Amino acid sequence: MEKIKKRMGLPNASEDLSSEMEVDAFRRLFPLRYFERHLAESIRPDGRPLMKARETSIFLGAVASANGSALVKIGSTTMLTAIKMEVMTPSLESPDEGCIAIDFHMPPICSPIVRPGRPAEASPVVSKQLSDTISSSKMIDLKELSLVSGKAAWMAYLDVYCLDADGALFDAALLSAVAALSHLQIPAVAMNDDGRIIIMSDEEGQKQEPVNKEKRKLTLKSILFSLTCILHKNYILVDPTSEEESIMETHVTIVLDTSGQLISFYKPGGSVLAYTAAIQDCVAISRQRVQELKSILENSAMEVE
Amino acid sequence: MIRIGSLEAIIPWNTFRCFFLNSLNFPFPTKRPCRSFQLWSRLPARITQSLLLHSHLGENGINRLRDTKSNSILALPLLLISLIICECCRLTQLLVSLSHEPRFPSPAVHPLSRLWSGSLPSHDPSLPRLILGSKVVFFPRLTLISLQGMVSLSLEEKHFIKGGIAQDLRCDGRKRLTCRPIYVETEVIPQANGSARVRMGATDVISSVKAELGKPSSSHPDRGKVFINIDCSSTAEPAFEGRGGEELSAELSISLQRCLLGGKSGAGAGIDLSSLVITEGKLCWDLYIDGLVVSSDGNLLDALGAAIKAALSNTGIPRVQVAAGASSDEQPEVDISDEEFLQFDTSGVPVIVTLTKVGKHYIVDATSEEESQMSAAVSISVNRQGHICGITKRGGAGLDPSIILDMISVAKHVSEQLMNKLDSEIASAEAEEES
Amino acid sequence: MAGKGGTTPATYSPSPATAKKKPPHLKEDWLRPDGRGFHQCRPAFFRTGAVNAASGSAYAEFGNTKVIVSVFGPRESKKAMLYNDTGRLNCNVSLTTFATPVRGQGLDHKEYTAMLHKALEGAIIVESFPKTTVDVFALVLESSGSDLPVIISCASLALADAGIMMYDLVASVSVSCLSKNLVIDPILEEENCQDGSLMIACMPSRYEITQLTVTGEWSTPKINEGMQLCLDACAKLAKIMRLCLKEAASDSQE
Repeated sequence: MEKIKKRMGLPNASEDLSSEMEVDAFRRLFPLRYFERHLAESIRPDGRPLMKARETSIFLGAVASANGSALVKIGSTTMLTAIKMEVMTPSLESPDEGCIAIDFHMPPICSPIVRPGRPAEASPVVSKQLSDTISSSKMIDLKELSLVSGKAAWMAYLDVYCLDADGALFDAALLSAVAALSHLQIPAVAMNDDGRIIIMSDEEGQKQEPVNKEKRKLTLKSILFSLTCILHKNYILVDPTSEEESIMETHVTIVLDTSGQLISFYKPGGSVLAYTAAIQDCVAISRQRVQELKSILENSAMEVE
Repeated sequence: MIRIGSLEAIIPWNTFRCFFLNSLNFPFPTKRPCRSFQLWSRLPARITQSLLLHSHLGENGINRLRDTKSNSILALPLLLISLIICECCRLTQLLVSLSHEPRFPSPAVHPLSRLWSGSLPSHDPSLPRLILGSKVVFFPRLTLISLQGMVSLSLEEKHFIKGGIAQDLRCDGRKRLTCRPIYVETEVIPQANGSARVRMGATDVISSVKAELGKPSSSHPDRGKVFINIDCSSTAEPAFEGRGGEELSAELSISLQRCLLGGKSGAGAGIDLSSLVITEGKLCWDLYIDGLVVSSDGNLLDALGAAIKAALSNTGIPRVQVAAGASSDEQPEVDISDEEFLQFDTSGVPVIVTLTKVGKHYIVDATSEEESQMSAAVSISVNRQGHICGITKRGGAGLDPSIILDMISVAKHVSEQLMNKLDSEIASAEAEEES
Repeated sequence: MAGKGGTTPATYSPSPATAKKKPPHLKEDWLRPDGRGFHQCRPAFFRTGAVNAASGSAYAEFGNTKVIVSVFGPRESKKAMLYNDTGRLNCNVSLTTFATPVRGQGLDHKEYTAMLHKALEGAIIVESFPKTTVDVFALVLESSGSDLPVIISCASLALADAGIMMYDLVASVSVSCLSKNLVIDPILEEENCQDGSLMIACMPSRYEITQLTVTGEWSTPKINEGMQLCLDACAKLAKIMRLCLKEAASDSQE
């Protein structure tokens, strides 16, 4: 706060009402001007440069009872993803394929806007976006989830819970989903006489051969990362907070894989038109961010080991 | 045209109704008008009737109303409302008492008109008696008028209740640890396998037991299943209207489950679940126990507990013949007997005693007026052996552990009497039914 | 992928092949699955300020039972209600879909919600926020026994973090009755085969019980013993909670 106060007192501040106002009051009354004043100085209210994403951390294996899980923090936006593997009978059209069900939840704890019994508007949007992105990217080969062709296959329930919502929800959700998938460990199972799949226990003599001896981990063909940018006038703000998202409406989300290929690009409306140059800039920043996230993910995987 | 005493006004019926809704909506900030007033507005006959009652009011009363609103047309509907209430409640003498000075000290604004003008705090000691719970039962929806739909009592009444409890003489003449008389009626719902109605004072609850064939859960193949569900009818209290009763219903259901079904391993259950099994892992009886609160005047949990006990003792479960030789994975074929019934054993079903703490003392079988003054309540279920089968604490205030232990020992003592009383009531109810 | 085959097929989680054995606690030399003593709680971990978006929040971890509680407000009441001199406490408890061993629906837990409300209501000074509502929302990230006591303790810590006035912190502990033994702070396996349970939420400094539930059949001496066990543990737990608050306060001063 102190920093900002000093900054607000800069000599070039115009002599209008706002220069004499308390910073907090100004922020509340004229949020857009407050932000624009910052942007003119190439800094954001939280002290970041425009192009810098917030500090990001990944913690794998946060949910002990799940088969794969990850806790991701981008700034204070927190996502917890857990994957639970269950067995299903595959459909007739694809007898040797498993399934992934992706769901995104915003429980009432995550934001003052969400109330119990009334789901947040954002949650179905992010949910759909997540499952579309992951399924269209062919990141996972569903054949790897097959157990016994036509009889049994894995159904992977991937649930992303937003524990603290402070902007860039999709980025954090995708990162935690990808991290949880990379952490996923599939239990060794066998089929018993009734045709049900049972977990192999180590202690007992191995009466049965596990049906998935080889497939204990998913091979992720590519790893997806995303970055959300706000377009405001000529500025590009990377990794917005919820306050920034509420003030400046136009945002674009870019999903890239590790090789830098564009997987998807969302620009859900907004008053600012995205010119080619701006988009190219966004993609370029995303490329850098992907490298950053990749190393963070690798480090977190090493930590677990 | 409406004419009361010297006051005279022409109010179109619609305006009048609108006024009703608007003026009365103040405690209910919802957009939707209160149903009860719609109900009234459909009763013009009643209103004309009440207009005739003005003679009972006396000149004094009218003047006062007119004074407060200074010839405002508003005074009229207010008066009308009060008249309707009085008419409905047959409390005409009350209106006369409105003009009595001592009841309303320094009436700068007439309490009745204050009630409608929206400035009335809930604890106002001068709140007219006519909306105070007890008499409103003649027209239960009227309690909507009382703030929060709860029993709102005047300070004096609160003191009276608390003082009475402290002196071991309650409003209805009972001692602290005396229950109201219990009336049990069995077989009230012929379609159910067992049913009972229990009345304790103005509290009236019905419980029914329905038995259906089901499959035991895989985790407990040697046990039947029991589902307890309680409903609070909106006739019992206006606050139960819509979804208002849901919270209480859920709370009662959970408390009863806790008291009757014992621990997770099935030990200490009042209802012997293993007796409900027909073929282990394949077939069992599912008991659906439903409770309905018809009228509520406190102590619902105890009444429901008693009703369930009575309903269970009234329950006959048809004898089932399982066809032999069915293969292991198929559902066995069954033959349900129409004539032979097995009497359900209820000796293990506990009774529930709720001790309500008012002031320093605690009482059993509290009425809703007394419940409104409670700081905390502890419901303790005790079986015939004198063992505790479940405790639930209700009400927010903290209790010293020693008080709780003391309550437990008192509850044990009271439960013995209650159990005997209930058993004899059930027996006589069943005898009556047979005769 | 998701929903490719139209409707999602019925699924089940594979269970271990081991056949059902006799419940282990009936044996003479039974030890608790996690090697604790009968009267030994799991190590408790508390941290306040888990959720930035909330006015106050806390995270609690008892073994594998993990809970986050956020407190919002005092803020405008959403529910249409009458003028009231006192504030309103609104609680909600939900579980994640992966919290329970069998995948649940992540629905609101009505029973816990009601119990949490009862346990806190006596401790909060509702007169300090007239006309407004304080929302206490809890999310069980992972359920592994003694969920409700953990939620209650965590919620009171979150309330303290939000600066809501309380008479005292509410600490809560439960015991399970397994045949002859009373075990404190039971884990899920123990809860599943318990004969009875006793849960206490109390304000240790005032030595007052705000919530008490007992299930199963108990004799009076056993209730005595169970209550004493819980009260002692609550007092210890409250010390840990207080320590956590002090740490958070000294951190923010630096």
